[in-house]
Amino acid sequence: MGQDRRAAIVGFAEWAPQRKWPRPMFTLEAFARLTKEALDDAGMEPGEVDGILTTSPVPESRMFAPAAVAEYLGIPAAFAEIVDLGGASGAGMLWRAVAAVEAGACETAICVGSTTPPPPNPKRKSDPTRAYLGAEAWGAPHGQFDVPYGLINPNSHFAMVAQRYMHEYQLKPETLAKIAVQQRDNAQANPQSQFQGKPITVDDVLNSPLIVDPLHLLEIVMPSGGGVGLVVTTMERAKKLTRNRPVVLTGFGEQVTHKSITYAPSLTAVPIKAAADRAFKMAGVDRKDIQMASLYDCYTITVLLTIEDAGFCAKGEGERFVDEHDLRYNGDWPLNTNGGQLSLGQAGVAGGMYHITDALEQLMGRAGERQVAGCERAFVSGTGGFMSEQAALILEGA
Amino acid sequence: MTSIEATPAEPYLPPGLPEPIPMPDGLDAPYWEGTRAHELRVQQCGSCGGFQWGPEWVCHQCLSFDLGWSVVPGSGRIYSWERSWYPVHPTLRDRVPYVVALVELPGAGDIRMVGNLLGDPLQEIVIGSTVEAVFEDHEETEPPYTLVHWRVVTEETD
Repeated sequence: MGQDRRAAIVGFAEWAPQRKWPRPMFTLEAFARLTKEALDDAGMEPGEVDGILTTSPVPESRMFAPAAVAEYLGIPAAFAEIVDLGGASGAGMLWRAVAAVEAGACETAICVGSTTPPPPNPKRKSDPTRAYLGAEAWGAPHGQFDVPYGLINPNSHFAMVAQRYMHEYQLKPETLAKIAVQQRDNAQANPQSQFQGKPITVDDVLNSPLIVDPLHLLEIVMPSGGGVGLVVTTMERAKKLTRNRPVVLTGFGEQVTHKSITYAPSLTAVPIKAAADRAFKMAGVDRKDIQMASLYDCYTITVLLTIEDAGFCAKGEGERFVDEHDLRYNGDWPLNTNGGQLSLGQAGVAGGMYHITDALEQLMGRAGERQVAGCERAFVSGTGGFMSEQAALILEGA
Repeated sequence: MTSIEATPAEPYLPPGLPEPIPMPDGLDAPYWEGTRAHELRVQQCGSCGGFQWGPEWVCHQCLSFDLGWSVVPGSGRIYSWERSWYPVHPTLRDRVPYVVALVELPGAGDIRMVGNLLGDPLQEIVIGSTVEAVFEDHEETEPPYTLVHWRVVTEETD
């Protein structure tokens, strides 16, 4: 038999998100540190790395960013990519890394993402609203057709998604609040969570300030600093490593449909459907074979729509599904067992990677008190834009 | 066809938000020229007849480059909406809450446009309600510009 060319995830590093990051840190520095920590976790040396994938942007390098990272890390890269899928970047990077290793493009790839405040540049003034979504770019559509009406940030877009969903289907605010509450319960057992020691109730969520009808503060992620690194190598190499149970990606899918809200094919039928269908077909398993799910949770409505359109329940049945299941790590449908971004904080575009580490902790048996017994197969979703780009991953312990 | 209201006395949102900047390549110039004339213009494909919004160089439906502009009725239906309570821009600090609507235009192939929903920000909003376009002139910038807002049509204004 030839070498085992399947790829395996063999290590990771995860920084506890913090609302106020302790010190300014350029992206390149964060990438370097996360890479080192992830390699240490895997028991591998930097010299073995020949593939680099990063989230976007790398502010210090507007073009040729992977080359800048390779140079900064002192690692020549046979495969270098910057993945620009918003919150879906984490999942997008991982399957690309796996595909690159399995295709023989590289032997060992690093996936890194982070959000940290850079040291201030005294010379540059910018209008933060223009900067959102690249609206500062001269002539960007958002700057013309959305911003002048006060449609500026994701809260507003997701509120429109929620309003439309509530118009088309049955959904009460208490059900959405339950998602936030049970994820917060999970976080009580996660030392990485800045909300440990701060459980909440459904009343707490519904009484928290209304940010954009119908979304309350406690069902919206809190922006934070943070970062994650992953190591993907060949199974051949993995067999000689001793730190972690290797995890394999048995199915993946990705779908990007639009960027502007005016071009959304639908506000209530989201691209995770195509992504999940492809992932499950590739893996050759059914929805019922999934033992834990880590679903991108910028808002509670994001989670509910993902549960539906990823096929875990019928369309329009999301409310009933959430009402009838216990989503805690010791419940009958473990979801976001690390607390999710709702109870970790959202580390910018790196936030989606915390759903990958959530699954890795479970599959590698590293979830401690939150361990789902006998967890062999997990489903992870990434979401970017306004549910305009999504990715699905099916991960299994090897 | 519903009449198009003259510009309201006060802008819906206070001054200070970044003003819209048309693309230097002229792609969306016909839209902005139309708003100054209190006309709603959107792209319509010369090959398949499809409408699209926002402006692009290629037809979203058939990929033809044969795109023209058509005047369409300022009439629509609320497709979705949101009411912001949190000021995302310092200018909006004293203006929250305010309402943004996503309006679909049956007279233009059901394309959807973003605008503010005029009237009491706390009004009860029903998805599917009929709305009419209202043009809001801004003379304070150079060049001046005009925004397109929407107002729910009731029996009195019909």
